[in-house]
Amino acid sequence: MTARHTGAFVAARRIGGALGGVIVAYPRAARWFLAGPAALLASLATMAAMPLWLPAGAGGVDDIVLAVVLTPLLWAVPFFYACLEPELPRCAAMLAGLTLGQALLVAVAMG
Amino acid sequence: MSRLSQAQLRRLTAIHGWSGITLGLLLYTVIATGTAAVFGGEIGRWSAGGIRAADPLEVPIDARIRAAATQVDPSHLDDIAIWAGEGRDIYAFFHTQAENPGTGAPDDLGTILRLDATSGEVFERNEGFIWDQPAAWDGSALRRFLVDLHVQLYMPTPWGLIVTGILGLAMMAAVISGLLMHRHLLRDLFVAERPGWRLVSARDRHVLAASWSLPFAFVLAFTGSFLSFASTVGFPLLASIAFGGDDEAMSAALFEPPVAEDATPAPLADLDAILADSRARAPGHVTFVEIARFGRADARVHVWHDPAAGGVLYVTNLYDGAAGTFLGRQPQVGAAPSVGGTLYGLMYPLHFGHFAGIASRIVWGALGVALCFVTLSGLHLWTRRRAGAAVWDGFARSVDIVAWGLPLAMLAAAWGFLLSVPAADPFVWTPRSFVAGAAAAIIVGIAAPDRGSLLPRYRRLLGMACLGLPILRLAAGGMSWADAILHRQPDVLTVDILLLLAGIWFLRRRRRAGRLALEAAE
Amino acid sequence: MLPVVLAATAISTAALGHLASTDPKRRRVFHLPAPRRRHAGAAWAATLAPGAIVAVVSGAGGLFVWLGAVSVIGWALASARPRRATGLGGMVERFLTQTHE
Repeated sequence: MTARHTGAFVAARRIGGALGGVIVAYPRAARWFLAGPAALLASLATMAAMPLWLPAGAGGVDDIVLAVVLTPLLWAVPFFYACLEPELPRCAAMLAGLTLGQALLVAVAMG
Repeated sequence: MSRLSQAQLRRLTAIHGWSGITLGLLLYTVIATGTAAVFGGEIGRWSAGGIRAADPLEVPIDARIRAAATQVDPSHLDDIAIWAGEGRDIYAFFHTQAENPGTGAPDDLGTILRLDATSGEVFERNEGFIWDQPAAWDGSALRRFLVDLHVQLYMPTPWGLIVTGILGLAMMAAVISGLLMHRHLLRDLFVAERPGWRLVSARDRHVLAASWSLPFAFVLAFTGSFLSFASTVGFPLLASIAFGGDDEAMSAALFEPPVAEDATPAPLADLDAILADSRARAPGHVTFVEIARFGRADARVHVWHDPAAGGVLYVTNLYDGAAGTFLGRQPQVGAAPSVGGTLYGLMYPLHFGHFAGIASRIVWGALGVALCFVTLSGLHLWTRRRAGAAVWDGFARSVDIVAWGLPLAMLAAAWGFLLSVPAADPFVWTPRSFVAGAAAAIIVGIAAPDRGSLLPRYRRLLGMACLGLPILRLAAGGMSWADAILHRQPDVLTVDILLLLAGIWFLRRRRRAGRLALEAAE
Repeated sequence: MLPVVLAATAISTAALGHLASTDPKRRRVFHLPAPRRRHAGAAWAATLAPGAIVAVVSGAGGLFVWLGAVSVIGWALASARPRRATGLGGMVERFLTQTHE
């Protein structure tokens, strides 16, 4: 691991730590954000990335069709997770990981 | 459910309550108009139908289509779409693809003819970007208005679809949160509303209706939000990810099997023979026919059928247009049947309730009424809990006004349609009449001295509106009862009788006094 | 398909009527004596089994129609208060109540 990677890792940990502090300090606002915009972004990122990791199936289109057909569930799952998860920092980490990971996947595929 | 903590239950209660309160009245509008839209075929035939001995797509139409094809611009022969009208007429839409200057997107441009399937007489002809002109492709402005109100709250595309999609998600959230909150769902499944008009009675009413309609509420919310978001968010997003933004390429990949291009001129095979063969392979009614690349060797004919008895999925048979040979059953999406294709294929029939004829439509209509009850009883429960606070008392009256006013406005739309058919444009006057009916309902609601006096006033208005409609329909030149019986046109008679019965029911004397308007509305 | 669905719905309705009339919480709420015998398991089986038969005989379409019909009818039966139940539902309930008290 180069110094550059180490530096990025340390910066990410600091940012994560700062965000965790904000979440703990303002739990209600954090819950609103996670169940609202964050859940929406997670669902859109998942929908966009599904053609990249879902098999195409017998008809050759499942990767696209399932992403569209399951749209309501793709929103409902992160929404209710954000509403029910007792540990807000863990919720934030999960949704952020899900969103950023899949967004990165899409960016690489389109780039 | 007892595994949820108090904090989680509080959050679920907040989601359930506030999603209902903020969006409940709009949701009620979508559900009520959706219930009417289930019977869109009957409404269309009642409002604009003519006498027909058989479904117009069941009679020979080959000669009619060929004759019609000679009357249109040859550049419009890329695709021909054929569907039945409200009487013995069919619509034949000859079109190609071009950029619509109004939207900047590719759209169907061509000529649409409404013609007599038996004689070939052309009743109407329209040209241009036809989907922008509802009067050109829908014979009933009343049906079109009610469906549009349901699908996108009569708002411009795509905003109306996004709003109804959000309402679908809100309904789904209310269903899931309600299920998680209710600790004793099975134990309370047979507990009727407790007497005494207490708060717990209001809770009982809501919980009972919601519990019994839970599975269908979820299905209708899920399929409804899919239908709204698919064309506005889902497919455009995936087109940009997987097809570089090329909507047509995605559409071709999903819905059109690959065909080797061959522009050699070749006459279309006998369309009647193709339809007869298709009916032999799929017993359900033919609902739609599409001819791609008319007059070419690579022509294809798609024939859509209603599901067979006991089935749910629509059936599409594919034919070689030049040779007339059967090429196989075409999946709703993709090149072969798949999990995704099956789920996609289930969305429409499960939402519309059209898969088993009148039986499924009656059941879906009843479920729609149940869901209206769930929505209104939930709003009532919320305002009863907060009775005495000025803002919630005012909101309670608003709920009464919308609960009664919406059906009144829909009836007013029917009045406006029938009054305008002889001498004006019903596509203009139907929505205006809806607005007038809504305004009248609001005025009545605001002018009433208290909520208890709302009920008799609305019942009188609804009763008179219902009783007057069959009379107005006849006066406007609609099919007489004698003709309806003689020529076996049950839809006209059925809707008239139901309206008369509803009118009598609304106007009957009510012995019980002091009952709040909304509880009676539920 | 329709005759099978109608027959199945009728059987399920009768079973639901029995479940409603003998439901312990419902009877407690309306100050009615507890029934001597309920046979809840058999009644639920009688409610749901017709649906399975419809699914086999009439397919998914028939199953959805049956499910929807039973949902609406079940709600109607459950909504009818025991003392005020009139019409066919009331007759069924009074008959079942009398045989169980």
